[in-house]
Amino acid sequence: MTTHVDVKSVPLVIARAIPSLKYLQTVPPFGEHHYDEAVDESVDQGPTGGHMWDGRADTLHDQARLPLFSASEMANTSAEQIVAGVRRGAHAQCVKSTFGDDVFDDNEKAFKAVLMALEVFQQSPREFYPYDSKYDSWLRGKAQLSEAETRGLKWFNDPHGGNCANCHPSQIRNGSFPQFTDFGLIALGVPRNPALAANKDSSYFDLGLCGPQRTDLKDKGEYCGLFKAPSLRNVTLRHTFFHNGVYRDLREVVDFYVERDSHPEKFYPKSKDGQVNKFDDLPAQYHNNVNTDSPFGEESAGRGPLPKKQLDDVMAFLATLTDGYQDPKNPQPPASDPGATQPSPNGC
Amino acid sequence: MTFLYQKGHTASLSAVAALLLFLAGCEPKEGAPPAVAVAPPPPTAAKSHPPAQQSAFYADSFSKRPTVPEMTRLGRSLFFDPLLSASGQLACAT
Repeated sequence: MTTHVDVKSVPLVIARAIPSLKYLQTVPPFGEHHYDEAVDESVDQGPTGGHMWDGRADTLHDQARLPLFSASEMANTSAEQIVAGVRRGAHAQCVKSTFGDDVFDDNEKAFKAVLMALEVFQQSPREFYPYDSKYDSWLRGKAQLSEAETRGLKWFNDPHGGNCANCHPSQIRNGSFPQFTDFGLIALGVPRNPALAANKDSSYFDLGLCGPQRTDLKDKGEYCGLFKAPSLRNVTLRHTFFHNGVYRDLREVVDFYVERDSHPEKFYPKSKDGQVNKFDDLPAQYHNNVNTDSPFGEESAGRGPLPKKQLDDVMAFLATLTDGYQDPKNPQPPASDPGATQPSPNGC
Repeated sequence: MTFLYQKGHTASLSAVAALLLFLAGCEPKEGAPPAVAVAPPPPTAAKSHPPAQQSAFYADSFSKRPTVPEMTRLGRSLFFDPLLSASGQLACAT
């Protein structure tokens, strides 16, 4: 139940892409060792779990709290600041009618009320884990994947194809619908994003699990460059990809996986001597931390870009992971939460 | 929960008492100073703690106990409220 963060130590710069808040209810707390009986429980999967890109928030409670103080997100520096905003905002009356008229008498109590409401809302099934994508319908036997989607899924799963399912499992396991993440933290060596304010400082490196936003594992060099594998549910709705948001087009992301090791010059800048500066967002002493399992490494030797038709198939499959699928032959009225439909007499 | 805890607590106190009696029985009759039975800390020590709900986030500490739908509705409103950010420009939903 610990929170591995010192709020004051976070630099006041935009440093990371905002992670998705969906499908977080089954994320385990962070641990340096993880054994998964659904894969091979004798193998240590290494650092796994936790919320945020570096796994530093162990619980949904922290996940609701930390973005309020993250410099890259809401950037508040105190709970009092947040309470002051809510007190003069449009929802002050609703906070009172929900938690009691005396809720603003005490800043600590008012902050707790705000945080609890946010936290409860962020666990609302309809909005945060509806499991109603086309892929979910297909798993339930209530929808058919198209030929293109099926081909895309096959490449996604194929250990010699995308091998995506290795870290973003697509199968029902232990009775649970797939989360499209194994919650693991690995280093991919994604290119530096020069658009990030934090990266204006050439000596600044966001090393994820070993810091600087997280401070408890700063002495573990083998953890430098590791970030959490996000769920790929709703991935086609995202506008930024990877922890630093370096890519803004999902096709570029797939290209990166396919050709990082066969054609690094397509992704990394060249140094003055003409050498490709591979893994330019990671100091050289940590380059060995970068994952080289398929689709990277030896598997990709001599590989060219994915043919456009195949890339289209992959995109078609990924689009089946978007929530809110409607069967065109049997459309359903949109479901809603009780909290959304009840009348709101009390300023809510 | 409270009942079980008290039951366990009472049981462990009885165990301590039994152990002390046993030790008293083994006490050497002369020579070494007698083993003094150290009384367990009095239960009143717990009174020095602040009320539990002050440090336990989920403990009920509000004058009104909200329902989950009420909190969900408020949370949704707050989620879309830019006043929650330092700049006043950015909502959680942004």
